[in-house]
Formats: sequence, C-alpha cells, structure tokens
Amino acid sequence: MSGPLWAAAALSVGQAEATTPGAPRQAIPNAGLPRAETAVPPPPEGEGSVGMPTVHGRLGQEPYTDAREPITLPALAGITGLLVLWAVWLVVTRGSTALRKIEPPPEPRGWAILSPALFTLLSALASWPAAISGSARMVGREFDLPGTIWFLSAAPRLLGERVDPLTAFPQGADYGRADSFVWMVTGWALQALDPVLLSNLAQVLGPALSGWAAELAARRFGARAPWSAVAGVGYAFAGPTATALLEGHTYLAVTPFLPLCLWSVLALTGPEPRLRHGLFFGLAWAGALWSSVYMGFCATLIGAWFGAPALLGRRLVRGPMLAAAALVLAAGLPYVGLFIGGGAVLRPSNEPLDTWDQRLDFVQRGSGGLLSLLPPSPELDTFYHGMSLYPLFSVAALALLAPRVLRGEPGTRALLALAATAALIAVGPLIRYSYVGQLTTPLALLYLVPGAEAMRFPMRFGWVLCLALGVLAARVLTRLSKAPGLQTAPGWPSPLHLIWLLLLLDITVALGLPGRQRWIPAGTNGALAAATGPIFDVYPRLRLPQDDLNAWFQANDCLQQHDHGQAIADHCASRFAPENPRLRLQDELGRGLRGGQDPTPTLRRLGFAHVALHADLLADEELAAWQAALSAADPQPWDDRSGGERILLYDLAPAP
Amino acid sequence: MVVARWLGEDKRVELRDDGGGGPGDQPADGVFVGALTGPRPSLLPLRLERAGGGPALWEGALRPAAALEQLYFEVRADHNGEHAVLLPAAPLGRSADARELAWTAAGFGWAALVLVYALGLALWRGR
Repeated sequence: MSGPLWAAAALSVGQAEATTPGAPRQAIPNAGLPRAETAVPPPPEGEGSVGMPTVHGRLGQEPYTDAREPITLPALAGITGLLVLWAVWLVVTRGSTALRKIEPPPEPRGWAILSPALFTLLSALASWPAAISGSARMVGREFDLPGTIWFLSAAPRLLGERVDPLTAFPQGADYGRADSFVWMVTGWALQALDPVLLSNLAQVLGPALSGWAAELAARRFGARAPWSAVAGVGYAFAGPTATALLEGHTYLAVTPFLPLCLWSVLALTGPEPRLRHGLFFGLAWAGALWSSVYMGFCATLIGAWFGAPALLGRRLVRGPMLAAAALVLAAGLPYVGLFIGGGAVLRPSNEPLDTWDQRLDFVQRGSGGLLSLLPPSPELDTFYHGMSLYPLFSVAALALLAPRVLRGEPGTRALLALAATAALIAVGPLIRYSYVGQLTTPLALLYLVPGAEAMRFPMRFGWVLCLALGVLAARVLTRLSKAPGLQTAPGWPSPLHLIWLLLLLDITVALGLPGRQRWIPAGTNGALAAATGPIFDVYPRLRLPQDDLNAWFQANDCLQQHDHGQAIADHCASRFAPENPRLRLQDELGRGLRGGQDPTPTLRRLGFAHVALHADLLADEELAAWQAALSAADPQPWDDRSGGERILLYDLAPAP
Repeated sequence: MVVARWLGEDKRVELRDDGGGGPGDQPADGVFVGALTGPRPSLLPLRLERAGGGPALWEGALRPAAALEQLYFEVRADHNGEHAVLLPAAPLGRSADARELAWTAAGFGWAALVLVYALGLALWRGR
C-alpha cells in the first residue's frame, strides 16, 4: 500500500477449499490483541521482546483512560447508603410467606417426554455444529476450549493423584483448585469416550438438561405447560449459555443445579416440606458448588433469598432444614479445604492490585457492564471474549409485565427483586455510563478487602438473572392464557403461541446462536505424536497484561498432550501467564541464549527429552538462535507441518 | 502488504485499492483488499506493513476458526506515528456490507416488536 493515509484495509484469509467469496462476514477470533482498556507496556529493560509476532498494535481509541473520575470517599458513603436501602427493601419485599400458597399444577400427559425432547432439539440447534462434530472438531472460539477438553482427558489421572506429574514438568502441578470437579468426575466416568466428543455432547445435552430443570422450577412456581418451557428457554438459551458455549467453558453450559436449588428451596419453604426436599436442596447446592465456585455463589443467593426470610420468620420445618444444612456443610467444607490448599494463583503477579480502584478495574474486566445486557455485537466477540449477559428480550419483556399481570400472586416481587439484584451484581462493581463517567455499585464494597478480587467474574450471576426472568415470563404466559380475550375456538391455537417463534428468532438473530459459533479441527502435529519423553515447547514470549495469545499457547500444549501423552512444562490451569512454569523456564533459557549460553544442559538436567520449536510463530532471529543452540544435540530435527502448524522437534539425547 | 507465515512458508499479498472487494467496493475509495488461501493452520502470524517497507503497522496472530476469515483494519496516524487497528466488522460507509447493517437493524427491530407485543398484551389484559 502506498500514498496518503488510507481509510481501511480489508483482508480475506481462507483455506484452499473455501467456497463462495460472498460468504457472510462475521467477527474474527481475536487471538492475541490486548483488550481495549489495557495499555501495552514496553518489554522489560535488557530483555527485549522475543518472538514474532510481538503484539504492540493498539486498538485505536481506548474507551477508558486516566481521565476517569476517581472513586472518592463521598462515593463510598453513597454506596453504603444505597446498600442499606437495598437491604431494607429486600426485607420489605420478602414474599416467602405468600409462596406457601403456590400449588404446582399437574403435568399434561406426555409432557415428561416431549419437554426434554424439544429442549434437546433446540440445544442441538443453538450449539451447532457440536451435534455433528464428533471427535474431529472442537466447537468453540476462545482459548478456554482446548483447556477444558484437556481437563476431561486428564481427569482419570487427576482423580487418582492431585499433583499431576505430566504437567508443569518436572515439579508437577497441583489441581486441587480445579474450576469444576463435576467436570473432572464426568471425564473420569466417561473416559472411554474421546474428550473432544464428550465436550461436543455436553454442548448439546447440557443446555437441554438445564432448560428442563428450569421448567421444573417454573412449574413449582405455578407455571403450566407448555408455557413453563419458556422458563427453560429463558434460562438455558440466553447470554450466559452462549458465553459458555463460545468460550469453550462447556461445563458452565451444564447448569441444572441452579433451577433445582430454586425448585427445592420452594418446596422446603412451602406448605408441606419433607426431608427429601432438604436433602435435594443440599445435593443441588453441592452440585452447583462443585460445578463451579460461581455456581455455588449463585445457588447460595437463591437459597438465601427464599430460605432466609422463612428462617427468620421461624417457618422452616426443623428436619428438612437440618438435612439441607448438613449436606451444605458436608459439601462446602471439603471444597474450602481444597480451595485453600490447592495453591492456585488467583491474581496476576504482573499487575498491581494494591488499591481499591485497581481491584475494581481488574474485576470489571470479568463483569458484564451495561452493554452486555443488549444483543451481542461483533465487537463483543472480537474484543471482549464473547461475554454476554443478554437475557432474551422476549423473556425480559414478558417478565416486565409481571407486576401488572401477576399482581397479588405469590413470589412475584421476590423473583423481580432477585432478578434485579443478580443483574446489579453481574454488571460489576462499576457502571460506566460514558467515556469518563462511572458509578460504583454496592458490589464495589466487597473489593475494599484485599484478596476479594479472587471473585473476579461477577457476570456469572447472570445465570440467576436469566432464571428469575424465565420463571416470571412463564408465569405471565400462564396467567395470560386464562384471559377471556385470548381464548380461541376449540381446535385453534392461542395467539400466545406466537411466543415460540419470537423465542426462536431471539436466540438465532438477537443472541446470534449458532451463527457466532466457530470450530477448530482437533488433532496434533505429527512430530509431537512421535515424541518419546517430556517435551519443552518454545513459543514467542509475549509480555502483555492481557494474556490471550499466551493462554492459547498454554491451551494448545495441554490439548496436544492428550494425543502424545508425554509430560509438558505447562501448568494447564494457570490463569495468568507469569504463573505458567513453562514461561518462567523459557525466560530463563532465553536470557541465557541471548548471552550465548547453550540451553541444552539445563533442559537435560531437568529431564526433558525433546524441545519443540513452534517455528511459524517465532521471529526469524529467535528461531535461528534456538536452532543454532540445539543443532549440536540434534543436527536433523523432525520437521513436521501437519496438524495446522510447523514444528521442529529436537531430540535431547544425552551427550556421548 | 500483508505478510503471513503459513505452515513454514512466508506468504505475502499486496492489498490493492482496485474495487475488488465485492459489492460496494469502488476503485480508489481508500479501501485496500487482498486474500490469502491455503491449508488450515492452527495459528497464523500476520503482519501488516507498507509496501515500501518500514516498521510494521500491525502484528498479531489469527486463530482461524471458520473456512473463510475476514479481517478489517483501519490505519490511523497520531503522535506515535502510523499504526493499524483491527476492527470487529467492516466500518460503516461505502465499504459496509449491507448484511452487517441488516444484522444490527434486525436486532433493534426485533426488540421493538417484542416490546409492542408485550405492551399490547398488557393493554388487552387491562381492559
């Protein structure tokens, strides 16, 4: 390109087998660019930036700059006052007394089979092409996907030994602080299945199971079939599920536990609580917690929301309540023990988090923000990891009718307040309403405590928002179906059935499933598959606060381990690049290499049998330096270009 | 000029402002387009630079996750010099794809439809 400043450059990148040039333009996976709100620091003095590509491109206008209004003490006082008012309102709006009057309606004949079948069909559509991908394609678009699949493949040995000798070689990695133990048990129980196939199956069956569970909860609240299914659609086919499917956090798309918590806490606080209701609540809460700590937080919110007023009002029956409490303690205490003893690093070491506003900025990146409540945009997928809170406008619109349509019906205010509270938590501690303007929410007070930033994904409370809205929408439709003005002649469908078309359009057009989904071929490089001992992978060393590319490299290594079965230097659950031992070792070896030191003796001493140079990614100078240093050990490395990349595999046989 | 290292081979493509970008793309409209094809890589390093050489305007890596990936860059100049930024979609204007605008319009139209529907039901209920 030449001449004066040009307006735009469009580049198409496709495979030789790409079809029509008129294919729809969609957002591109953003592998490696820093987030818009993160400035790119220069490389450390004396080290230089190794590798290619060195990502230093800025994203033009950064939306949040140092011109932001600082958070001050008056703001804190205002937050405190707001919190007090909020608590008072919660107490005033408690509706559990009225919940005792809800009688679940009978289930129509055949609905027990029809409902899960319809949810499965809808889930297959929303997660497409997972249903037909088998073990050949991984369905997802973010770096979390390969890591999640690795977790399934490693589950059988992780359940046997908490410290895994095959990762973070040679010291091993402690996975006591795994994100999802339910996912780990699933991988162990179904180890006969290929983990890629298992992940794809979970993408299809998970939302279906979650939707069916939400429908059960809605019927407990008095919604009738078929309108109760709207609760399942609103819960399991909204923004949070889309985020889980697109990110590749497949286990977060399998969330029946929250609706089951809601179902059981209603039974527990209802007119005839039984011991089994308490046991069921405890099991559902445990399932939520061991699926993900954030699901545990959500389940606690649901349980406390409906259970606490009943407890304070001495309306809980002792037996079922004690059963629930016993199971919660039995499940919660070991989890806390593993959490504390797991040794996971929950904050990055290369980012200061010493002050309150630094912690708020850090947590806000894992929050939804106001825009995420709207239908997703290409920008969301390209720059914001596809994270969406979008609660389906069809469902939200129906839920907003609840104060009018469900006036006087039990539980309405409680659900509306629960939805509002969950939304306020999910948008994060800061509401940024303009380029420089921001408000702090009550959640911000939590992060006054150093260390609280470990809870860095408040947007996962979006599940509670979608569940509450879905149940409300289902009840609104149930009430409307009885309206005299909406009755039709026998044999003619009610005009309310238009909602199914609206929901389908909402999912496919507004939410964008399955159009936003992508897939990646499974498979590894032939050179790695032929390795006979521990492998040290060499990637470009990118020094960025936002770790997308480093995370991809780590996830790739871990996933490929499933194929080659050798030990690797990556810790497959490290959340921040500086905590990945492979990067620390590579930094050390890289410094030595630039000083003329041969890295081979160090690697041999540590027990590595091979070095894999990811040649496509390394800068020419860096690649040449590594090749020169390793050529003495292996003058003819294995040069393989299969599996989607070129890898040079060096054999570090002991010196004669 | 776009330089990519594609499975061990360096591929270069010169972007041209010759109206070859499909419907809506006119010659000399400031929109430069080009295409790279080949076997699917797992990670594709890319560098955007001026044809006459000089520092890179943008460097990054693409993880291809579809049969056809399209990237849009906007080149800007500020006190730090020239640099390119990656855009999530085609910029609005002459180079915008009508289907992308339709996507956004459909989203808003859809929301309005649902709102009207809900209000209508509410009013009917209140009669």
